[in-house]
Amino acid sequence: MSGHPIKSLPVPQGMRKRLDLLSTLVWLLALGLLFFAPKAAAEVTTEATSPPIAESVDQPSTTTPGDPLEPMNRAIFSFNEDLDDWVLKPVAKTWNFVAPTPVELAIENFYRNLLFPVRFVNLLLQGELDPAALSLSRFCVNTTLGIGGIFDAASFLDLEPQSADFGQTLGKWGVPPGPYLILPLWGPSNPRDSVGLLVDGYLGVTTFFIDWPILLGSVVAETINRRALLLGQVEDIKEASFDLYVSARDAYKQQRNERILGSEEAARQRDEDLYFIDDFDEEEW
Amino acid sequence: MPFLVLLLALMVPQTASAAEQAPTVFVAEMADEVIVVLKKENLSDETKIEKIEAIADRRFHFPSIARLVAARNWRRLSNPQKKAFSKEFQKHLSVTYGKNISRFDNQTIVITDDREEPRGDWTVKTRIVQPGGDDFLVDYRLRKIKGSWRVIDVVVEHISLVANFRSQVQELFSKRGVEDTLVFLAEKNSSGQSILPPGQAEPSR
Repeated sequence: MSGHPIKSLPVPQGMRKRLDLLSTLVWLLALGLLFFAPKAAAEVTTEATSPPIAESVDQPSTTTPGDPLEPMNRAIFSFNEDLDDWVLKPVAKTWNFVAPTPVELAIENFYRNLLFPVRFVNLLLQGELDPAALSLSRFCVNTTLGIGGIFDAASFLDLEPQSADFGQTLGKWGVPPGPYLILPLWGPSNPRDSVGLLVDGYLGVTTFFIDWPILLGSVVAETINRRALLLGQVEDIKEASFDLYVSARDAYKQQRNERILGSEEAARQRDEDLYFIDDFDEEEW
Repeated sequence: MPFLVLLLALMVPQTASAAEQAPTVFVAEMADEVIVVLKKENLSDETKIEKIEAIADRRFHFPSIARLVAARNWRRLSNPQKKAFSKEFQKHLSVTYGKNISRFDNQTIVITDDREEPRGDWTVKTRIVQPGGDDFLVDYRLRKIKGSWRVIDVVVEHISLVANFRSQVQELFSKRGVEDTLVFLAEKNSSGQSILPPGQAEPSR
């Protein structure tokens, strides 16, 4: 085995072509975003001025604020669900049967460690210098003491996991999310976070570029492994929801808000509408 | 962990009266009660669920939760419909979350922070520590009802249960109407592979 992974980067020619393809895709999506932008702006203003969702009780049921693409989204959502039911989940179950949980966790740790550049660059772009430094030291500790990242040794040293993505970076820069969007094979997103996904993918891939078949294989493997770790949880959520699509949409929006506004501010904005209803009388019934 | 402030185990002995109880103590006691039940090895799952439901009945205020979940729709409900909604919603929670007890794997609960909220509410932040897994964050929203603290929302990894169910219930009410929604909830509860006999989960007074 010859040395460091960086040194085994393939020759640039073939790679350049692929990168061109990727950057074309990024620009295409950015262009697509332009079409969404007016809608997105409109959405933001209505969100800011209109009362909470609960107010819209008497509106026709076909339009939900913040989800103009609902019919298409629901179709893709159920496609994703079918794919999960018929392919991903059975495979993940088999994998789960074969692999003990510590092995699954080690694989998860390994991939998370590899994606360090994504977190690091985004934290820098967000001006989060301390967390960026923390993620750098986590990477160093886990790559060495954690044996290539399979153990999260850093957590034992009280270096807490950091996370950051480019959709979040854009959000912090003030880019509006645009309409809620379900991506095939991926799930809940929006145009802003989709661009983020492409940029993060680019960051993650170019830093540790191996080769496309290997890369694709490892993405699939990681997906299966992560699904195996979530086997119980996903089923719980499905059972606990009245309408999984709506539940996932709300959860995504709440979590993204927290990531972009910070937990204090996100909670403050949410709680105003959430816990006090104007005619919340204390009558007994 | 810099936030690690109070270990659950240290907080058990408490003599203060319920009325003057600190919110963190309230949550620590609740966590302790639940973990004691979960750790008992000679109890059947059914008995454990019954005991945990009894704890939840004392510690949560389900009528408030149901009302917050129904939000603006609440006004549209007649009194019997309010009762039915509240009852089905509580039952839904106990059926779906009751099943999780088999997943208990020596998690511990650490209270990390608490803060006062508008109009006397209180938030207590906790971290569930899972041996050999990712920790996760659970915040409890407390409100003083008739002189004692009650949980009115649980926020798991920044997702409020009340907000999440409110959006779903809103969808149900606007797509199906009131009566159909109540039928749907009842059917969902009886079709879910409930380990409980029907009518087990009664709303608290």
